[in-house]
Formats: sequence, structure tokens, C-alpha cells
Amino acid sequence: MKNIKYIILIAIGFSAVSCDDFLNPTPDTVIVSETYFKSDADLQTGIIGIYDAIQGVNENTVTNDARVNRGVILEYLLTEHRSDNTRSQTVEGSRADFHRYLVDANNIQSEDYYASMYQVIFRANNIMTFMDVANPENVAKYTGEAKFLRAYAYFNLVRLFGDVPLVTEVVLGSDKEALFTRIYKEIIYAQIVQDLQEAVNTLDNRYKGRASKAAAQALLAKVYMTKQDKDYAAAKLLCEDLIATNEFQLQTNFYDVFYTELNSEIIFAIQYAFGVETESQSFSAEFTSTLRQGRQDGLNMVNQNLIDDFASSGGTRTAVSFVTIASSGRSEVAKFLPQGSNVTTVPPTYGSNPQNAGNDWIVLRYADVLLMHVEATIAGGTATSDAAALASFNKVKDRAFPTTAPNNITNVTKNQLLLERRVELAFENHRFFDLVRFGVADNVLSAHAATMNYPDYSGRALLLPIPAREINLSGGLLSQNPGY
Amino acid sequence: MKNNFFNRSKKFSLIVMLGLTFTLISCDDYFAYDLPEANSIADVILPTANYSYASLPGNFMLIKFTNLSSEATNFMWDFGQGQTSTLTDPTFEFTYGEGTYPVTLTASDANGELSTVTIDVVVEMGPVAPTILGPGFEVDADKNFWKAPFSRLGNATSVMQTTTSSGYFEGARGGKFPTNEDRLGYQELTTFTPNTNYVLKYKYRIKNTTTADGTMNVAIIKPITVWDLATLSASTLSSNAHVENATNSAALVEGTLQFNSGNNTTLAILLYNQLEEIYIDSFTLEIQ
Repeated sequence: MKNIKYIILIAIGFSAVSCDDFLNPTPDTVIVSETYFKSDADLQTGIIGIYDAIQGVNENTVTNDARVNRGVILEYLLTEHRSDNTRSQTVEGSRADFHRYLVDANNIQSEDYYASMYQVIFRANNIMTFMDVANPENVAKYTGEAKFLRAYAYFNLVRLFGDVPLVTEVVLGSDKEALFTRIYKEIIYAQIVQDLQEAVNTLDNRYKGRASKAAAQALLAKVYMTKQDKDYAAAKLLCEDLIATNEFQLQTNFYDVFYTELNSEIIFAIQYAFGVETESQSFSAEFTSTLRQGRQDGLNMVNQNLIDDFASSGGTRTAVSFVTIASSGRSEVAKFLPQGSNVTTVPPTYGSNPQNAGNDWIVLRYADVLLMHVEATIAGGTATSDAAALASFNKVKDRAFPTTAPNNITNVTKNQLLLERRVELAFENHRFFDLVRFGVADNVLSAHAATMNYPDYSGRALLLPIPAREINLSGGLLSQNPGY
Repeated sequence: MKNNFFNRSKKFSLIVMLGLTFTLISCDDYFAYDLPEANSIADVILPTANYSYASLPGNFMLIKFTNLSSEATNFMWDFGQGQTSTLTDPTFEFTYGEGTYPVTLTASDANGELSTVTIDVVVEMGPVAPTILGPGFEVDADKNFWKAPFSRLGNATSVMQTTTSSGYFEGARGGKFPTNEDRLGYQELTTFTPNTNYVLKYKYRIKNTTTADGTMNVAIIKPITVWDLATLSASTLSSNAHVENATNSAALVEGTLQFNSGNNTTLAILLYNQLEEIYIDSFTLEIQ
């Protein structure tokens, strides 16, 4: 036993030498993120990869919801269906739980969206760890773009789920504290503001299908008006700045906003390509019902109370926004009809490949900014007669009511603005967030739930449940939202 | 045989006695030293009580509570003065009027774990919208609510008419002004909240009976006592002059008039027509 010292020493020596490289060789035939990023060009593909997480996987390409993330494709369920705008045609399946305020912590679509947004955050955090291989002049731009996308994802998460885990760097799966500790909304918003400010300062307006300075400004304006300590003055400055650049104009014809991709009105859109399985979307098909092209019986079906608002305030937007099919009497969204559709014929037709539709998803457009300008000017009050705000409002109004233009509206109240946003931006996933931001969500939605006979509505439904899977993985760290 | 039976029944009674003894002795003592639910996991996820509140439209004293407690199944609300509720989301009317009322919510789970929160509920009167009398001209007598203390042409006070002509009203009847410009509608409303934005809405239709284009005037004015255009113009806060066109002569259309009450608590709605027979109906007045 004299030699025990040496034995121990050798044992320590073995344990101290890392075997990782030896036991985990980099495979020759697959790509892993640790070794993929070797050049500036690789980083660019990595950045496009973040958009891929928002774009999601078409339900007709991989049908199993549990295997892939749908990204923004399912967003209308979490937003429009939970507002007074739309509903599911049937009451079967978990997609039909949103409009009746029945979503539970096991809802697969809600969980998918949560996972999709964290996938965006992961990819953004990941790309930022490889900036050492970027061309030095591109580092700021790439970082700004990644931070814009991270802020976009967090803004969606915090509005839908409340306090959520805040992860701003790549962490290991074992770091449960970082991955599963819910962080107060105020801190999440501070991070969002910081990320978007950096994006505003580093990006230019070269792209519409990717992050830009204008997109960061518009999103930041909305963040300023949404967070708890609202900053209307800062939001107003951002909107004024965007309007003053003259880089964006309303389309004369409302139809062209949706059927001419990346037109002068678009600030930021998630792009899809028609007929290409891996780059197409399925929501266009799901919005049909009478002659259904999708996998469901019809989603985003238009509620009567929105049809009434269109009748009084829609103008030329009405016919572009939805179509009522005579044979069924059902009103279906018409802003994203698949290529080759003709809904004026009887029966309507939907082109050669409706399930692989290419219509872009518009995240931000100029009309939204013009109306945000009015909102920032009203600044939490009840109305405004400010000349600049009225000019913005009248631009939107005059396009919708060209026969009576100039409409010369002299005073805009908060309720009028909310109504204008409803009919201008219907089916673009704004309504739910608008109701919350205007502070009227509970009043409007409890009345809506009473009319539609949805007895399960309560003020707690304004936040979705934290997915049960996340809570189970967290080992007791993640808490659930009230009421679930 | 008999003996045998006796022996058996003796055993039987012994068993019965034993059984009785067992049942008479409280079991509590027997199990006092056993751990209840041995190996069960301690309840570490405890209730947290929380709620939000908002007054319901129409009655500022009627407060709707939204329960935001987590991990709790039973709720006890204490509104003060002995008033309580066990509903999840109660609605409570603070009939004592404006003030600050501490309201306590105790949330508990099935293990009896408690969490309590007390929030000062502020009950204050928001702006109110006055009630328009006879807003839909549903019976002929409703026109008398719109009777002015002055007349339009200097002759006897000329009150509005009502109509049942199909296409010119909603509900049972509607208001009517004949072509010869001798009638007007006027109603004073006394409970405006100062410096508040209101919106007056109504439906109107202009009948195409003459070659001239008629006009329907709807105005919010400070109260007047005589009909003259100079006074009228000086007293007007906001007004609409709807001129006859293809749309408003074909069907009832909606008119909207927005105004700020300024420093007034009493204002009047004034209605009069020019050059055409005109119908008006379905008034609503709301805070913006």
C-alpha cells in the first residue's frame, strides 16, 4: 500500500483530463451549430434561420403538432379567436377551445406558440455567441437584427403569458434556474426596450422581409404604449420619425396591401412561398369553411358583431377583409386567400395548391403606425383634435371612404380609434392586444362572452396558461397563471 | 345438540362482545402514533391570494372582482361591515357611495393552507351620461318630451310628429318633420359631467318629395328660450347639417355628433329640418 499515493494521483489525473473531445467527436456527415459558423456567410444563413422559427412548419408538410413548431402560423388562434373578432366553425378539438375561453395548460397549439417563441429566442441568443467570425463591420448589424427578433418574441410572450423566463444567452438544459424562473413583466419589458433601441440604432431600411430600423421603431412604439408605465411621448416621437421619413405610403387600393407582397405599406412581414412545402403556410387554407381547403372545418370565422362594425365603418375595406359565402351564409376571412382564388364565383375556387399558400404574414404595416400615432397623441386621454394626429387618422379613413374623401374628421375619440383599428387591421392578430392596451379587454370580452354564450370567460382568461409540459420539466420552479 | 348450540352461541356472544368493545373504543387512540399518509409529499405549492377590480358600466358603485389567486380552491371575500361572499368572482355594490374600502380575500386550498390579501378598493364616480326621454318615439306621446318652450315661426309652439310609415323608423314609431318647416324638437338634459366627451348617435332619413335638397339639423346647444339664428349660433357647441343625397334618402342612416360638455351640466338637443320631409329615430347618448 506504499504506492497508494501514486494510484490516487493517477486517478485524479484521469478525472481532471477532459475526455469530451475524445468521447464526443464532431461527426463528419452532419452539421452542428458548434462547428457550423466559420464565416460571415455562415452567420447570415444563421440569421435567416431565426426567421425560419417564426415562419414555422406548414401543417400539411408535417402534420404531427408535437414534432415541429408552427411559429406564427397558429398565432390567430391565440389572438383573434380570443378576441370578439372570430371563432372556430366547430367546437371539436383543441383549436376550438380558444374562442370559448376553454384553453387549458395542455393545449397543444398554445404550447406550440410558446415553444416557437422560445425557439426564436434560442436561435437569436445562439447566433450572438458566434460574432467573432463575422466581418467586423457587420457585427453591430447582425447583433441588432438578432436582438430585434428576440424582442419580437418576448413581446409576444409577455403579452400572452405574463411573467415568463428571461433567457438572454445560451444556457445548458441543466440550468433550470435560468430556464424556468418567471421574471416580472417590467424586467422583460426593460429587456425588450433595450434590445429594440439597439436595433433602431444599428439597422437600416434595406429589408421588409427581415428586421429593419423602421420595424424596430414601429414595434418599439407599440411596446412603449403596452408596458405598464406607458411612455406615450416616446411612442409619438417614434411614429413621427417614421412618418417623416416618407419611406412608407398607404396603398391606394386596400386589396393591394394583401395581394402585392412587400408593397409600399409593408414595414415587416414574414415571407412564405407558394407551392413550396417547406416555405409555405397553411393558415390561408384553414380560413376557408364552406368549401374547406384546410384540415379543420373552418377557423377564424367572422363574428356577427365584427360584420356589424364593418357595415358601419368598413367602407372599401369590407369586401377585401371577408366574404360571406351565399350557399352557407358563413363569413370567411378574405385577406389571405391562396393564390388563384376567386371567391366571387359560385362556388368559390381556391387555386391549384391552397394548402401550400404563399401569402406573407404582415407583422407591421404603415396604417398600423398611422393609427398608433393617433393613439400616442391621445396619450391615455379620451380624444384628440391635434392636427398632426387627425392628418394620420384621415389618411386611413380617406382610403376606406374614397367617395366622401377628404373626410375631414375633426376629433377622434379613443373608442373611434379602437373601432378604426378593428376594421382596418381585422384578422391581422391585432384586436386582442388592442383591447388589452386600451384597457377595455375585460369589459368588451365579458359582454362578448355573454352574447355568444361562452360561460367560461373570466378576467383570468386574458392570460394563457403556462404550458403544463414546461411546469413539469421545471421541477417546481415554474408557477401557473391564476385560474388554470 | 342443544348443548352444542349453547356452546356455539356462547362463542358467538363473546365475539359480539369483543366487536362491541372495539367499536366503543375510539379508534383515534389506536392510530395516534401512525403517520397520516406516510410517504406523502409535503404541500409546498401554497395558495397566493390576489385580485383585481373594476366598476361595471352604468353603476360606479357596482364593483366586479376578478380573482387572480393561484393554487387555491376556496375563497372568502370580506367587503367590510359584515358583508362577505364565497364566490370565485363576486360582484359587490358599495351602496355607501364614493370612498376607499379595504376588501380582504382569503384564498385556501384543500389542505387548509391560507393566503390573505387586503386591497384598498377605490370607489369613485366616473362621468355620467344623461338619459334622453323618448329616444325612439315608440309611442306618439313620446314627441312631447321633445317639445320646446319656444316656436320656430313665431306662431304657436309646434311640436314634432311621429310616423309609422314603413322604412322611416325603427321599432314601433319614429320622429317626423313635415316639409313646411314649422316644427322642431328640443330636449334639455340636466346631468352632464363637465369637461367630458360625449357622442350622440341617431338614425335619420330624408324623404325625396321636392326638387330641392333638404337638410336635417342636429345640434347640441346651451339652453335657449327664443328662436333666432344669432342666439342659436352663439349657443351651439356642436352640430350636424345632413344634406340630402342618394344614401340618406334611400334608407335610414346613422348620424353621429360628438361634443365636449365644457363647463356645462345642462345642455339641449335641438332638431329641425329644412326644405324636405325628414324622419329621425333611435337616439343614444354615451360617454366617449
